[in-house]
Amino acid sequence: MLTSVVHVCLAGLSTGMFIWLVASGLTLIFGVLGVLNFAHGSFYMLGAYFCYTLLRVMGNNFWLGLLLGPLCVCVVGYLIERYFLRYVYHLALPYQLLLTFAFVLIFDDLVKIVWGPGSIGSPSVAGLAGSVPILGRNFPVYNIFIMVVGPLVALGMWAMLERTWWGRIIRASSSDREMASAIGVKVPALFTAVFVFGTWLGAVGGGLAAPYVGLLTPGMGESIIIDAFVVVVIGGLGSLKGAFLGALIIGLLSSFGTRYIPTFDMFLTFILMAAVLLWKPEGFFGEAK
Amino acid sequence: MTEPLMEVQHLYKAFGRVITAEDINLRFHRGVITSIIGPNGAGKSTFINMMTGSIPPDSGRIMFEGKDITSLPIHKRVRLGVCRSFQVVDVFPELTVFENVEIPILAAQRRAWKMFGLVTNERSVHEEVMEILTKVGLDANADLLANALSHGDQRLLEVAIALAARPKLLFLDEPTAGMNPIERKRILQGIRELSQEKKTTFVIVEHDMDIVFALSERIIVLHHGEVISDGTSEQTRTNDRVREVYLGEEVDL
Amino acid sequence: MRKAFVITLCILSLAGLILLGLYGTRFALYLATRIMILSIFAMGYNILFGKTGLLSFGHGAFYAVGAYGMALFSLHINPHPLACIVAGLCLAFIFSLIIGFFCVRHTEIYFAMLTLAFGMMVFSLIWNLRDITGGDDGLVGISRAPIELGLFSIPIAKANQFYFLVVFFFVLSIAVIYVINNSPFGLVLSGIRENDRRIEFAGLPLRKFRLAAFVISGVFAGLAGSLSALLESNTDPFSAHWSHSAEPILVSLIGGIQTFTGPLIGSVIFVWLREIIERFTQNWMLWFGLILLLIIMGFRGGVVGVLSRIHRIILGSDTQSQRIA
Repeated sequence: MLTSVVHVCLAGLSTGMFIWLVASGLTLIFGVLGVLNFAHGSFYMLGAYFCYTLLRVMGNNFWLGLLLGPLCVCVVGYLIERYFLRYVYHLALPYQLLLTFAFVLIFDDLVKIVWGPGSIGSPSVAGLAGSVPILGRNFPVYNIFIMVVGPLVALGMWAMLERTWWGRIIRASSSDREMASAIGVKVPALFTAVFVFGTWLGAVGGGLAAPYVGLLTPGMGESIIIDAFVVVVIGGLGSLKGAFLGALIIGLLSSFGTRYIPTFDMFLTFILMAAVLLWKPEGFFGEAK
Repeated sequence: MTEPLMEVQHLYKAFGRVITAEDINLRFHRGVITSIIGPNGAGKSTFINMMTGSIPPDSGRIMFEGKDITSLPIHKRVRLGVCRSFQVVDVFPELTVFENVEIPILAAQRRAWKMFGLVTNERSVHEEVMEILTKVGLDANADLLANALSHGDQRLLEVAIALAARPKLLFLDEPTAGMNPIERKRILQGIRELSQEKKTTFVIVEHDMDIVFALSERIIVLHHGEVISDGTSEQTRTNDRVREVYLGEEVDL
Repeated sequence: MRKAFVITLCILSLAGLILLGLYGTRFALYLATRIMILSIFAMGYNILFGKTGLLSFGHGAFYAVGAYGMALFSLHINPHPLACIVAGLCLAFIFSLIIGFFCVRHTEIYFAMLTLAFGMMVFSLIWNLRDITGGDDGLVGISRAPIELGLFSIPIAKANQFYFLVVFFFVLSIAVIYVINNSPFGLVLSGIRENDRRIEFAGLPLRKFRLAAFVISGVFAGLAGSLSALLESNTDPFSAHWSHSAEPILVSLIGGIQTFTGPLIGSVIFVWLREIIERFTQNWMLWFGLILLLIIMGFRGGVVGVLSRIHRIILGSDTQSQRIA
């Protein structure tokens, strides 16, 4: 009994950290730019595929792939923000959402054209393969790795936003765009930078996801983006702290749900999302507007 | 004295440590054009917001025609006869001038829920719309989109929309801001005439002192959420507290 | 002059629909039926989206509820098609009333996310309650029984017979939606889109109007769903998925969001273009994504917007025809 509960907890935590890796970029982009980016799932997918290809080209070096793959996706993110998204900030919400949705459709098919419509098995990572026994039952080493990386990313983002000059500029611009530009911040360039950074986070999430999920499929971005939306909403749209906590909650909820009430597992997630939106739309750490 | 149209009792409101209404007790009587003035931050906007339902007071009561409306939602107060206009133009930008006025009249004539029947067939509504547009002098522009109007005309439309709800008590939030002298004259004349019809009682928040003194039969001065003066123009001019408060500001009383 | 033109156009379209039903090939009928079903879905949806200005990701759920309600009634209670459709509509009405009650408390992104959450709840129920809904297989074997009307009965089993049933609902829906759009109620909805705060100061209960728009569009989604269940003789759980809710948005956008005919023309283009593109390439989504990009970046009025712009340039008229179109 205890073993089982511990393992369900561990699975939940690793799932949570895994969703967090994707949701972090999404919530950062929403917090600063005010755009809920459907294409974030595509960046995740592209990250996974680029990492995989680079890994193949460079003689199975996972780390080199993880370093270079997301950088390629960043170029894509840059082009999208600079030449498309920038022109719809002033438009109504549906146009922003649908613009990013258009990119989802485009990238899904592009991935099918380039890498084929079927799934690709992801190679395991040397040194992080296999599993270790915890309370007499095996637990994958790679999941432990994800559980370490997640908090590190959170810590890194917190340090960047709270402790650096860049972070202060970003926070200032997200709370008052006009004031920031009045004191000389080049807001459009800053938005591009934040979007590219968010893209990078999504792509890294994808690169790390490949060995975790085990399979690369052209539609892989769509399933994760809804999980990420849920997490971002529960955390209070745009709050990093909230998203981190939200990811943990969703991770645990879904792993306990899958284990004990599989019929209502997905239902629970969305009921939590609706409940937060109805009774505390500003999220756990958000301030009432 | 007859029963007041609206009566405010012990109204209190604070945002954090900033008090914007401190034990306000006021009565508004039918047909008396009243102005509310006061320096910036005196609590005029908050007062209108509390009267019309946008902000709930922390404590106190608001009575309208003997009914307690303190916790009624906006649209129910409008139905009873308490309405307002906005300081910043707040019309329906992509609808025509006619449609802008038509919406509150549909509500007043209880036609707004009608789904099966064309709006173009609503004769009695159309008559009332044209009546109001003629009153404010926008009848020639009825088919223009609201955002195609000049700023001054948009202000007139703003007042027209508020009037269309058939208010018994109408709060006008700086109705002449940004108007040229001709438009200003027209709207003041309109307010006077409408007030004489006795259907609508006007309470006006204004910065322009010429207008305040030319128009009002009663002037209420707010300062830091407190009523510091309440009386005729002459009484206000000679009130010591008022002179004190406005001293330093370039206002010639 | 203008009125005569519109009436002529309506009569010609109706004649075209009837001729198609009499002489069209099976494939043409199938496509036309799908276009009409999508139109009903999109035009109903546009009461909420284009008219009231609320973006919902949950209307796929009402489409599915209509389909499943219809199918369950048909399989378990009575296969009379009209009764089944009414059952589907009632279920869609109840669901949209309950879900809408919660959703209309918010607007903008919060509204969109709430509808997404509720829609996905419905999806997860359909997906997981296998005993009732058939899970990922959906409900299969829905028969197209003849419509018994006392003295006589109308068969709808054949494609061309069923086609006329859909034409009936299609024309009825257009008429009803047209009237609602141009009614006093419709004007209030436009007012909500333009300035919701001012609606309250006009003396109108804002949330109730939003809810009414939500439910009306939900019921039309249910009608489209139950007709599609009859067409395909099965139900698809993915019709409740949020991505299916995006379809009427895309269709409206192609045709022109703030126009009456936009969703209709958009549906024709959407289904037809898809058939053409899929004939040449596997990558329909890529091309569709590019078209969507083009519309958002440059032609936000959609096809109807572009046409009315051309129309105005040719005639040199200064009337605001895009508002009437």
